[in-house]
Amino acid sequence: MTTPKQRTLTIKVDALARVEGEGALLIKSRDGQPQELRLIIYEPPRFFEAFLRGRDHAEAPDLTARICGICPVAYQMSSCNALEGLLGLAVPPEIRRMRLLLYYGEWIESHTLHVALLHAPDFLGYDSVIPMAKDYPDVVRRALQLKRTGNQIIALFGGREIHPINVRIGGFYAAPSREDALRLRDPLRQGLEIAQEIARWVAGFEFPDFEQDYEFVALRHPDEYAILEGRIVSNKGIDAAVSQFEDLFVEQQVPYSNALHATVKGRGSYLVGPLARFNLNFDQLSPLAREVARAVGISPPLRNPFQSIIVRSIEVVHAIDQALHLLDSYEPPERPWVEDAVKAGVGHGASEAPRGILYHRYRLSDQGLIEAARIVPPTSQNQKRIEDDLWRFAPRVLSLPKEQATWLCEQAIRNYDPCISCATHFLRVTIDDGRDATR
Amino acid sequence: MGAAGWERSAAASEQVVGICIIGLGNEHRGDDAVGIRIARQIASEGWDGVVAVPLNADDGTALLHAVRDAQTAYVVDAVSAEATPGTIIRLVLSRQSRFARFKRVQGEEKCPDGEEIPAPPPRPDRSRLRSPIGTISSHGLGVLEVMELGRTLGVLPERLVIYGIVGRAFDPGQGLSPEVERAAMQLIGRLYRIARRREAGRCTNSHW
Repeated sequence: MTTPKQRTLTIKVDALARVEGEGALLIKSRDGQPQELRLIIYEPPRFFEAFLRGRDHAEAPDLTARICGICPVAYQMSSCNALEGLLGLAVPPEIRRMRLLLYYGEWIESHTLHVALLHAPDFLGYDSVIPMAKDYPDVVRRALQLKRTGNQIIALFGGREIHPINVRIGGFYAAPSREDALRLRDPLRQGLEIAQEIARWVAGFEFPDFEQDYEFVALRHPDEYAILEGRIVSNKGIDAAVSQFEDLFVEQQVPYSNALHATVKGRGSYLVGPLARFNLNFDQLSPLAREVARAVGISPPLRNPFQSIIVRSIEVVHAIDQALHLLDSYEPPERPWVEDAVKAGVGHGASEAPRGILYHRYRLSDQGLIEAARIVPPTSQNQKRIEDDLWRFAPRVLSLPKEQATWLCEQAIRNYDPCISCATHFLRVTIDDGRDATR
Repeated sequence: MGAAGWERSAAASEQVVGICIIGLGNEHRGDDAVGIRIARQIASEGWDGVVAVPLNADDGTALLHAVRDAQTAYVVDAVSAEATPGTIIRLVLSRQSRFARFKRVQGEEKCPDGEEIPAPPPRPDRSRLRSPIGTISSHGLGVLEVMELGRTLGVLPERLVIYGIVGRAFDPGQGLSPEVERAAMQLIGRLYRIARRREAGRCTNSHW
C-alpha cells in the first residue's frame, strides 16, 4: 500500500496546444520529482531533406519555404546563404535591403502571433486567446492589425503572404515599386506604437522565478542585430564561421522522438532564439528597442525563459524600427537578382529565424543538382534544452493539481515558441492520469 | 491601450465582390490540401460574383481577415472525423448564435437537418473532430476558434458556412485520396449552385 508521500503522477499531453505542429509531453514523477521526462516530436522525419535530393539547387528556396507556413522566409534565406556561398554569389546592398525587409516582416508577424495570441493567455490565466479577447479586445485587435502588417510586408516583397514565391538564388524575381513600398509606412508607424504598447503590457505579467545557466548561441553580425547572416557565437566561448556548425554541434537520435537532440560538442544543451540574441547582441538592437527594453526593466544578462515573451515584443519594436529606416531609402533595383551559377561542392548557410538559428547545408553535383541536404531548425536545436528546463521546472509544479501542473508545463514549453514543421494542424490532447487514489 | 484598429470596415483598398469562398489547408499533406484545391479550381473557372481564396491553414488569423467584411462566407477544409472518408459535413455559424448547426451532406443525399452542436468551449473536444475544425491547431487557431475569436471581436460575418470533407490520409506528399477527390467535385458543384442562388454578399480580395 502506498503512503500519502509515495505518490506517482503521470502527465501525458498527447498533443501540445498552441505550438506549431505535432508534439507531445510525457512526465512521470514520484513524490513530486520527475523520474522520466520526454518531449516527443512527431515531425515527419527528414522528409524535406530526402525530398530535395536530385532537385535542381535553384528550387531549394522554394521547396524549403514549404517546411513552415509561419517562417518560410527563414528557410529561403538560409537556403540562399548556403547556395550563394558555395556558388560565390554576392548580392549587392539594394537586394540585401529587400531581404532584410522581407525577413523583418516575418519576425513581426511570427513574434506578434506568438506573443499576443498564443503565449499571453498563459500568463493571464486564460485557456486561450478567445476568453482573453473578451477581456482584452483592444489588445487582440491591435495585435491582429500588427500581425497583418508583417504579412503585408511579406506579401509585397515575397509575392505572397504564405510561402513567398518571389525569392530566388541571387535575390528576387521582381521588386515592388517605391510607391507600393512606401504604402507600408503608415501601417508600420501604427505598428510601432502597437508594438511598444504590447511590450509594456507583457512586461507587466507575473513571471515565475526561474533562471538557468544557458549556453546562448546566436549569429553575430558586425553591423547589425544579426538576422540575415553572421558568425556563430555563444556566451561560453564559441566564435566560428557557419561552415563549422557541424563541428560545433552534435545531433543525436533519441528513441522516442522523430526530431534529434542537439548539444554543443563536449558540453551540453544550448539555447537559440530571442533570449540568446538578446543576451549576445543587445548592443546592436535599435536605440528605440534598447530604450523600450530598459523602460520595461529588462537588459542582459536575462536568464529567465518565461521572459522570452518580453524579448520577442522588443524584437518586434526593433524589426519595425529597422523596416521603417529601410523603406525611407528604398529604391527598386533595376534587376533584383544576380545571375545564378553552377558548381559542385558543399555550401553552408544560416540565418536567424524568429525562433533562432536555422542552418542549411547542401552538396551539389557539377550539374547543380542537390546530392545531399541537411536542415537543422531552431526548435530541434532547442529540444534538449526544453527538456532540461522541464526537468528543473517540473518539481515546482508537480505537487499542484494535475490540470494546473500540466498547464504550467505546457506554458514552459511555449516559452520557446516551438515550431514543429509542416504539420496538418491537428492536435489531440488526452490526459492519461496515472495518479493513485491517495491524491 | 488605444482604440481598436482592426474592425469590420470597408477600407479603400478593398474590393467589393459577391460571395467569398475560402479554401483552407496544407497542400503538402495529402488530403489536407482539398480546401486549397477547391478554392484554386473555383478561382480558375472565374465564377461571376465569387472570389475564391486559397489560404494556408497555418495562419488562422488570415482567415479572419478574409471573412471580416463578408455578409456570408464559405470556408472549405479537410477534417478528420469518425466518418467515411469523402463524407461532406456542413457547419453553419452565425454572428448571433453560439451554436453551430451541423449537417452531414453527401452528394445530393439529404440527411435529417438541424442537429445543433455548441460552439467550441475554451478547450473543445478534440478527440471527436480533428483540425482545423474544433481544435486549437498548430501556430494557434483552428477554424472554429478563429471564428469564435471573430465573434468575440465583432468581426464575424453575418453567416459563415464551413464545409468539411472527411479525409483519409494526411501524410506528407501531394495528392488527394480518390474519395476526397470525388467529394471535392461534388462540393464544387454544390457551391456553384449556391453561388447562383445566393444573394450577393460582400467579400475582400486583398491578396497580391
